[in-house]
Amino acid sequence: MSTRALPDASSVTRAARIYIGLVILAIASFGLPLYLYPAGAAGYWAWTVAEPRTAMLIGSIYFVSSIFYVFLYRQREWLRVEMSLRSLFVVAAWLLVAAMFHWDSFYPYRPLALVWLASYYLPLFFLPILFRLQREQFGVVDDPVGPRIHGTWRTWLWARAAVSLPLAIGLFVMAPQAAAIWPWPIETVNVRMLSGQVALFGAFAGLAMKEGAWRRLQPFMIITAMMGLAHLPAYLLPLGGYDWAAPLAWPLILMPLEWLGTSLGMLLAHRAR
Amino acid sequence: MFIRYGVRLIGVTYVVLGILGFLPIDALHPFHGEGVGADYLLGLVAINWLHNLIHLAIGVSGVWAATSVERSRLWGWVTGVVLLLVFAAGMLQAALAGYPADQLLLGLVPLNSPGHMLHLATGGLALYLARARVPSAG
Repeated sequence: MSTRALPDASSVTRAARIYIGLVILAIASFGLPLYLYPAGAAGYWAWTVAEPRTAMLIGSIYFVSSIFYVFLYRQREWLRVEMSLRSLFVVAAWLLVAAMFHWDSFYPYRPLALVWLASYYLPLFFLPILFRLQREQFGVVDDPVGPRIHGTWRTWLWARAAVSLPLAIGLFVMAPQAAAIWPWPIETVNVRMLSGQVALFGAFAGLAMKEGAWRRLQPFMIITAMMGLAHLPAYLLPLGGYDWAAPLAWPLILMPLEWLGTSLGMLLAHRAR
Repeated sequence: MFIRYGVRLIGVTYVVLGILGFLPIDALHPFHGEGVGADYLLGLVAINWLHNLIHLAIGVSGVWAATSVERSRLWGWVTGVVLLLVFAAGMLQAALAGYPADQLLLGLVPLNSPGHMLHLATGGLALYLARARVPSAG
């Protein structure tokens, strides 16, 4: 006879699990071709991506996210899922606004464009409903047990958020100017799409850490580390010219290194505590 | 109750879309002349005055339906089925026409792929809400 634990306030709803499964399918369909076959992106991707380096950079985001969401799918505790789903809402809104400015750069009926649109509309409607369902079914964990984020790390996350958020907004607003000082030829649409990643991985952790429960933040720092690592090949592989003298050449490399360093530092520091 | 909340959320969104479509601010719905000649709401969804009215009708009925669970479920069924049918009809028409930038459904309502996918996403969600089980407290 098998025994099953009763659901409690930390459980994840079935709807959330199904939704995460859908997210995995969608973002894997973006990430696999872009990351592994960036040279062909002009022929299949949802919008204009002329340079393989740009394609690989965008692909790295989706590729890593799809792996991370498999990890998230396996989580049994809402606390560990919640923040990543909130971040999905933020990035969906950000990228849809970018699409509003650049619909002319899209290929409207390419399969990946259709999937992209649906998968970015859905979180805006469904995630608020999902959070409401979660509250109604399992209640709210107001004061989660477990270690808190160390004060120094909290300060650091706030500091990088204070820099990253204005930077992301600046990249979005001044995308044409940013494209002009980018280390390789890049379309304005792609600068705006990538600015969402600066907001997400630079600022979101600081702005959303709430009461500072490490268990809430830990999965998000895992994907931040994975993202930092996955970005590096896109910058360093010989995928066409990389102008090291361009004003954004070094900041673009340093950013994923900072994501990687901060995340690994936090993961190690809190593992030891 | 999350079912009513969801219906209200979709309803309010459609009301806002309907109102934005009627506001005489070109930046909110720039004109695209390359296809059937439609405004693109927020740069994405092809609209005209009739499409705006339909958005408003869906939205207002959703906000009204959200006052009870039974009405919310009924609204979910009707709206979900209608939106998914419009999605299917729109995609079929686009395929038959060789996937133009935008199209006129029944010669009246402009549609394009962001509109199709909005119909798919919200229609699917409306059906989910119509069928969702009310959670029992854990």
